[in-house]
Amino acid sequence: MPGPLLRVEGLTVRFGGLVAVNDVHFTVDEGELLGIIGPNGAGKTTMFNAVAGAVRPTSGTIRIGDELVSGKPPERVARLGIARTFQSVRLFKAMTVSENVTLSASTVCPSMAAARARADEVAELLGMAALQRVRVEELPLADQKKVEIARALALRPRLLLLDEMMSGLNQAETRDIIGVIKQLNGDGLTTIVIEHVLRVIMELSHRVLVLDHGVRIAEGPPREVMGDPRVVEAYLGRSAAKNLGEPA
Amino acid sequence: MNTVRRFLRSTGGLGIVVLVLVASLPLWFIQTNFVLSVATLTLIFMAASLGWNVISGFGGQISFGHSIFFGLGAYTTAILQVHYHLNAYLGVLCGVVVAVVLAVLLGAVTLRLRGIYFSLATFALTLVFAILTGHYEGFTGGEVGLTLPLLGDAPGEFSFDNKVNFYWIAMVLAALAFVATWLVLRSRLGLQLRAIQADQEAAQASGVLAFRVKLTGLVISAVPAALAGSVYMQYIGFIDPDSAFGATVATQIAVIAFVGGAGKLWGPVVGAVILVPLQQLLNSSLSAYPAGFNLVVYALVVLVILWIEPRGIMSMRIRRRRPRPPAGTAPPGDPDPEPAATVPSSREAG
Repeated sequence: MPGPLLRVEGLTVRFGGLVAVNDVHFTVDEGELLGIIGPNGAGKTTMFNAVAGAVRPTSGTIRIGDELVSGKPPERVARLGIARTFQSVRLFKAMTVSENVTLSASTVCPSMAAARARADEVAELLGMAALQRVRVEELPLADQKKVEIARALALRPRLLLLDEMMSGLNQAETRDIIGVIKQLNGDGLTTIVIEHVLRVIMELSHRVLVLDHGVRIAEGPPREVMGDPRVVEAYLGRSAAKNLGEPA
Repeated sequence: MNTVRRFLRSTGGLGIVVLVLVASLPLWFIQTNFVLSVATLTLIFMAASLGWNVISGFGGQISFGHSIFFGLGAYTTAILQVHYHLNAYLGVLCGVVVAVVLAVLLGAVTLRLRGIYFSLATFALTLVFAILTGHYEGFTGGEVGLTLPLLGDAPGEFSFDNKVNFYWIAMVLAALAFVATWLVLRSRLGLQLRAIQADQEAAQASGVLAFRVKLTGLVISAVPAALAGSVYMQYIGFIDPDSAFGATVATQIAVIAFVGGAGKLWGPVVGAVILVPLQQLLNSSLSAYPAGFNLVVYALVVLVILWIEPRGIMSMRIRRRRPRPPAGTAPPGDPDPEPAATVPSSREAG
């Protein structure tokens, strides 16, 4: 496997007295799919925001390839190849699907004609060609989430950050989105997924990183991490972790 | 040819013809000075409001300071003519240049603010300009203002005995502002401004250089406002701090667009056609009543329209049409470059 695409070193994010992310180190290899899990308030989205440039790290560095991205504004980070979706869908709701995706493409394409062609290409890839002229506010949630993915893909990203894509979706819709993520990663797109649905993380991830109270408590292959008592404790409490550690 | 066809289709070509016919109606039947004056002022404020629509309507950066550019256009033209005897057309050009330079400087500071803070900053700045122009008497004429020299019929100096000429110039200005606004709306800049208005953080995450886009939008929007100010100055022949930078002008440019539909291509056109004649009629018909009564009635009309439809008159029409859009067709007159169709979910659509 090629070397790391993303390097996060000593990342700390403080909001006043609150340490949301505390000295976190990790890397993501080219073509890898990293899952990030943790209980509510673990600092997952804050870490995403820091990687995407939406939050300025208090300390630490973030690099994509050889480029330093920490401290850069989100629009520069996006243009360096880090594209993201949001925990709650944040589309331009009065615009059509095509306009949402063309908007992203317009920031990296030399002309509007090229941007529209890129938007068509991405919509085709995600099976949304028929929806191009529909206003996104008229779409069901699952399709809105796909439009968010399409908008991110239009940037031709090197790294895709997906924040809780499955929340609010039913089983069929979840399977649909899992299929899309697998397809993109299968095509070589490096991806980080934050997810509360552990079944999804188990199915998708090559490797899992677990955060609790802003600290990295475990990292490794999904099955190994899920059996780690520290992870069980973070999710289910100390007694459950103790039971897990004792032979039956 | 394609661009012309696209323009006519997406703006509602018939609408343009109707607009031109309606706008020129006064000249065919009732060529009184009052009607001519109302029609000319309508077109002048329409142009200024169309400019406002670029940064505030499309970009969501609500400016209550576009009178700054209107006033700079008017004052620059007047000062250059009165003090330096410069040709009036060159003065108009200089007015645009000054407005553009000031838009860059003011935008560099105010566009770092968001929402109501940006609006307040622009409003405060226009009042600062009113105070400054009132202060430097030797240059600006102070509170008394500046009056253009009477040149009689001198077309080469932007001076006409027949006021119909100003009407046609104002018509060309409004038409150019409309076409420029349409071009912006269809462009990369227009799309990015609309995205910033909807959600700036999401736009930035999509790579939009928000500050640069807003600054470009502000500069473009200053041009029609400055030209409107220059034409107003030439038409009226007089300018003072209040009629250039006063609170009334500052809010009028924005209110016209709000009433017509801020962010809609036709919004400022419809707003100007309703509000400017209304204002002029109230000024003349209610002059026997206590001072300010005309403004009270004017404000009530604005409030009632915005109470019925806060998004302006153009949204009333669009909302009524939207429930049954024919799939895949563009509703005529809809300002959005890519009108929506209604299609089921992607899994059904394949």
